[in-house]
Amino acid sequence: MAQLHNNTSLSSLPHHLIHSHILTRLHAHALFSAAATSSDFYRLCTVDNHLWHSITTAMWPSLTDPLAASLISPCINHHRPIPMENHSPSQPSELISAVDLYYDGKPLFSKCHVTQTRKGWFLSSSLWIDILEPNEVVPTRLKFSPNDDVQWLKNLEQKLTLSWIMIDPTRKRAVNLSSGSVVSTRWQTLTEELEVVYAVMIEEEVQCSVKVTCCGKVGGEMDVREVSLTMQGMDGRRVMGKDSMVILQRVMEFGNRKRLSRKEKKESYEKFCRMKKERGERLLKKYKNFDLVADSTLLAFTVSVLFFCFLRYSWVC
Amino acid sequence: MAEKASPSSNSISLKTVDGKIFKVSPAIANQMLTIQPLIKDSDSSTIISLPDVAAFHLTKIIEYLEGKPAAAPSAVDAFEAQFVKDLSPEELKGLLIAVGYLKVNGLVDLMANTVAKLIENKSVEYVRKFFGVVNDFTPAEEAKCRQEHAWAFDGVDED
Repeated sequence: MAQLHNNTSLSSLPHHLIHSHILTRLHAHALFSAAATSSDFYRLCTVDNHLWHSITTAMWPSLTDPLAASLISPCINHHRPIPMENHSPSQPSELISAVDLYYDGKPLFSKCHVTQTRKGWFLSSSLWIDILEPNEVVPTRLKFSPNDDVQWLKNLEQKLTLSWIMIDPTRKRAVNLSSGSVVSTRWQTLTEELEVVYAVMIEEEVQCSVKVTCCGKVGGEMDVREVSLTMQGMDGRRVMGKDSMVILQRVMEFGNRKRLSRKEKKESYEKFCRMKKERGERLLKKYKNFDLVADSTLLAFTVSVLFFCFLRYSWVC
Repeated sequence: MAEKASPSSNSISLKTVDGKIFKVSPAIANQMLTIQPLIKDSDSSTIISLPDVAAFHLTKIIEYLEGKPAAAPSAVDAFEAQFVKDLSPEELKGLLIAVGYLKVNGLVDLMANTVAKLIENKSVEYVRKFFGVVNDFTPAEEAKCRQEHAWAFDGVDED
């Protein structure tokens, strides 16, 4: 037998076999595992931009868009920005969202979108990015069923997945802001549209939520009318554009998210909604108590004024 | 194999690294691109040495080349699935080195695909063990590497 166990930081397999025959066949996850094995493997995995490009675009077709294509390089992962004394100019002037919607693992719809982040309207209003144009509707070739078709909805929940990669082009950082699998669905009774939610906790008290609104004629084809992203705090308030930039930068730089199963993601979303509701109720109760105090103070004041007037009147008489 | 095997007098002798001699028909030997130029000049008395190939691996390669159905992709798939089914990871790796050296194209693809499937969705430790790689990262470098790559795993379901 040939010598197989000469343990080195590379491998007993010849480089060219690993590089041109094995690495090219790996999906992103396995490629990253291979890159993390040793420094030589890391070099072998990241030296070739073509390898990286084909893997990333196979997984996220939205990255073939010219907006994002120039950013795909192994560098997006391993070039740390130079720490600066002054942190203020580091905020990027734009953010790129690369969004992919899949059905049963196959890409259904992909789009890249640029958000200008230094404009007043972005900074001073709550964060809301819709990657579709106001009247844009994307056909999906999937069937659209009535809202009592439980089996159809269950199937859709199971198979419709979404990836929302937010890229900071200046720092070459990226983060996936989608939960991947569906955490909640709800029918809008008025418009008869289906809202599919992908939400993930990106910080302890901040949830990032992507809403996909599906519409169509019953029995006909399903269209996607909206794919939008918002951020919400535990107090139920939407995060402002200005604050979202700080959060996003923190998440891209230091974020360390746990890998959760489909069930855990759903539970985490439900827990967030429950806590938000409880906090809202507590706040409401507090305001009610405050109202009660205010009301009684006002009553006491009125009574005392009347009493004073009465005394004065009787004294005059 | 469409071609009929040549008479034994015309066969090619291949000597493996562990000293065993195999006699194969030119039709089989010609599919090993590395030794192709040597076949032309050889006669029945020539023995071609294969320094990177062990007897076990050459047996498997010959088994593959002789047994592979000529047509019907479904039959080829079934044959290939059966061929790799009982191979251990170590045998798989050895065979990949051997076919890579001999340049048996169809078999290189099959082996590489099988290896890729084997390490797909496996932990870093498994991949390290499979390739016989020593971790030369410092703990800090390794943590950084894992953290930097973690973004790609976000939102990817394992189920």
